[in-house]
Amino acid sequence: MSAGQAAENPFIHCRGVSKYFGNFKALDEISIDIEAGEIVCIVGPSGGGKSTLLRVLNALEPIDSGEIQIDQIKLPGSRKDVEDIRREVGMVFQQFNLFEHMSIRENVTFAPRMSRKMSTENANELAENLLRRVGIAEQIAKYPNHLSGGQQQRVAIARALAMQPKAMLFDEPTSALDPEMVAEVLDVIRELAESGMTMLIVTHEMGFAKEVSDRMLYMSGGRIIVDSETQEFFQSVDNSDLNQFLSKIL
Amino acid sequence: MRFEWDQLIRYGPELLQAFGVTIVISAISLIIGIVLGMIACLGKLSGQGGAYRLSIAFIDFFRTIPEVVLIFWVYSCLPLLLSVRISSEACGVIALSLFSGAYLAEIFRAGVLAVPRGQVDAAHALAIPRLHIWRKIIIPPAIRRMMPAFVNFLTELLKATSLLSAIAVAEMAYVASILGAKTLSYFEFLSAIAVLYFILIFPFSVWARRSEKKLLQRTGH
Ligand SMILES: Nc1ncnc2c1ncn2[C@@H]1O[C@H](COP(=O)(O)OP(=O)(O)O)[C@@H](O)[C@H]1O
Ligand SMILES: [Mg+2]
Repeated sequence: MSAGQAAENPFIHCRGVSKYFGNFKALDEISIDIEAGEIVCIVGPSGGGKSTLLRVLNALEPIDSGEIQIDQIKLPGSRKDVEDIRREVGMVFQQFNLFEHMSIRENVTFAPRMSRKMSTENANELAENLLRRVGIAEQIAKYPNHLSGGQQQRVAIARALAMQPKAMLFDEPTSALDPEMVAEVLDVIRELAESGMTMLIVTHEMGFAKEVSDRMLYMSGGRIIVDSETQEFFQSVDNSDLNQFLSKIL
Repeated sequence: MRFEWDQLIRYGPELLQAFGVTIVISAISLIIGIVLGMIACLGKLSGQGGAYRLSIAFIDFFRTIPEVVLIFWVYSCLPLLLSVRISSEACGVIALSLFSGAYLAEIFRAGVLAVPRGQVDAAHALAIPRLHIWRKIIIPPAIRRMMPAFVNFLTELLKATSLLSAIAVAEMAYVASILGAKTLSYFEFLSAIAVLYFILIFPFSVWARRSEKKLLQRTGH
């Protein structure tokens, strides 16, 4: 695929997306295009709308105006469109959100069985492979509350991958972790990045963002203030807001 | 005063039958109450529209009026309103079902709302169809979380059946007072049913306390 074609058909496309909570404008006319295989990290102050942006991309929150298109499927759309988009886009949450009453195996096989109608046998095999990939195959029969935070987040990543999504959204995947567990989760995300997955990652881990991302977004007040190629973002972007933010966090 | 065991033995079969009536009326009211409660719970959870307002009205009304008033109302007014004859047992079941439905709706709703929102989000994000989200993600943990309140309610319902003596339903309290009046052995019969109520209800109280403890251990707060 040539660069020209890709630009006409971005994998994720947002045009003028706004989202209100009551009278509060959480997203203010967001427009971005993300190419297939691109890795984009989003940074910015708390309350800036980062989580909301990821949530509208997965149709967890309806949008009030504008348009989203992911792999040719449009939002707002029918219930089927919403399910189709969710099948294409996996999501990992800050608080893991594993199903507490299900074993690790059930957590990972649930979506392929229910949503992709995969046989239990195939789903089990898939789960074993994915859990091996994230390094916790031996925990498969346990329940989430018997795992450490880092292990739970790796299960959550495996659970999202079990849908075989084309893109992954990460909402501060390491923010709820004890410091010593951050690395094991970042390693898994790094491995995914190398495999060519399209990813949108909200993070405060600047070193990690700098290392894996192709592009950086700085969000504040519901807007994308800076959208720039990674190297440029850290070296030469001249935005007082961003510079202040970076000097505080780095 | 002498405890007249022979009176108790003579009228034992009547008392046992009344014990059965108490259980059967509770069971039927509970089942209808569960159905009503689920409907009203879903209505209230829907958050807007006609079903929502109707559910709120149902829940608030039947939780607020005293049970005895409800029982008398169903017994004295409902037959006039519908111009049909309704047996006192049926009246009792209707009143206790409405009472149960209103209370259980709130108990169910609290259980559903206690399921962590993040797990429901995660299920949506995985494209799980809505029905499966209810069946597999919301209801099982909700049941576990509502169990102590549910069993507690069961003890309230069993006690409330004694109010049906006011409309001459042949449950334990009524039969004991009738037998007491007939034989003048009030002490024997009322003591006997106190023991029977205790035997019936106490295990549920223990169960409620145990399930609460288990839940606290499990959720950790
Ligand atoms: N469900 C909600 N209801 C009301 N306000 C919300 C809701 N979700 C987010 N917000 C508000 O929207 C703003 C953006 O939130 P969020 O997207 O979570 O920011 P970030 O992830 O950048 O910290 C915040 O001010 C937050 O309080
Ligand atoms: Mg956030």
